Amino acid sequence: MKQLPTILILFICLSGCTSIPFQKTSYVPMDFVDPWTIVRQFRNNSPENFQLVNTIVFQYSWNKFSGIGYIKGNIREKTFTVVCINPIGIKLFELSGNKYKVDSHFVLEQFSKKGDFAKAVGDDIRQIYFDTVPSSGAKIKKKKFQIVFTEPLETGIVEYIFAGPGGYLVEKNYYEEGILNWKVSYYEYQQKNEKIYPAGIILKNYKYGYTLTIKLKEIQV
Amino acid sequence: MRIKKIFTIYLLFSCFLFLVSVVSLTEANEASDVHDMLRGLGEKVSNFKSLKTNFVQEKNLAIFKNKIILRGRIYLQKPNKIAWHVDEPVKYSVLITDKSIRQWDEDTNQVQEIALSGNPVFQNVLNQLAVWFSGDYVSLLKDYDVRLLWKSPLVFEFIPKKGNVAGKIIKSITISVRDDERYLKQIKILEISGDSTTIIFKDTIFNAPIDNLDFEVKRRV
Repeated sequence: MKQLPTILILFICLSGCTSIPFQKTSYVPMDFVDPWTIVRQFRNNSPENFQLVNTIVFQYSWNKFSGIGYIKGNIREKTFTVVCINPIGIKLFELSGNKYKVDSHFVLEQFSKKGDFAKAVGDDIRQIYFDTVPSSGAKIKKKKFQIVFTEPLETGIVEYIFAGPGGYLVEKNYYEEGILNWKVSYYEYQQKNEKIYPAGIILKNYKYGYTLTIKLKEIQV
Repeated sequence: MRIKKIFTIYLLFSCFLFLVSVVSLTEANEASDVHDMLRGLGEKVSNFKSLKTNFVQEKNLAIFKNKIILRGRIYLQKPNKIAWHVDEPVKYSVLITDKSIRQWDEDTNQVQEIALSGNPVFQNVLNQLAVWFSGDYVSLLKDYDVRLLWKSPLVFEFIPKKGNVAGKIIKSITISVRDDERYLKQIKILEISGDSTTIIFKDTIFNAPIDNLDFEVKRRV
């Protein structure tokens, strides 16, 4: 019984260790904000085409691996091309894809051994960069500091949470049978050429137990 | 008439043989010249015990129009210690010795150590790095065909020979030598995929005292 507080403290410490490397969104009251105005503004402010340089940390259990990602995408056509290199410039993978498929141009052997690597990366990119606004049929739940939209997606439900002073998308969650499968959190939006880009993104895939932390380094227009 | 025809054919054939032998002789002489030049260059370039240099690494990805630029510093202590520090766009350090590789990056903030025993791939990478950076270019002749592109300043092109595993990825490696022929000005690696990497060495200092901390992977300047 005496061990219980020790275990609890250890658990709290371990939870605390997985700190977020981005500034948390400061919440402001959203009571008087029109939900669809927020969505429309966010859609208009988001770039249709983007070309970004990011640093990426992939964390699985206690393993961490980092790389530099170069991604080009089109939100409307849902197409993307991504290249990841390690910090000394060795290419790890190069993929391109659209809404339905991913073409693998190059994958380092050690990655290709682990399941369908290209599909997994393609899914993550779609979850992070595409479908960042709800469709017009989404249900709305207004909270004091958040506006939450929910709608069916594939075999589950996707949730879009808009919050903060800009009323930007701060979270996108996907549930299947009431269980959270994956969550994308967006932080520190910055502006370039009148378009907004999150400087920090965290994808947590609860189903497969991994986390992707993406830091924006450069917006290339 | 028939004798005249035979004589003409004989004459043409003799001319052809003469040309072939002249070309072969010229090629052999050129190859021998190139080998001598490489040997001479190797002696000049390898004439240091320690070296520190800044570098700019330009990665051209065939799939994108823009370059990825990496900047950092390399420290080399003969016979077998190389520290490679990347400062931009991500902070990363790797220390390579004859026994192990230690690496750190700011995003994961973890130091990873990989033993070289039982890691032939890393051992091979280490050997390659040591050769390219320390000037033992003659030893590359067994794996690469070499030709001289420019005499002043010296520029050599190395093309992997058939059967060299590097040939699966690398199309050619071009080294450009400084005017004083004391060290490399740049290395350009052209890949089969169409990607290329150019490492430009700047502010190279020979035999300057190197702080032990420069061979630590976690220290950042």
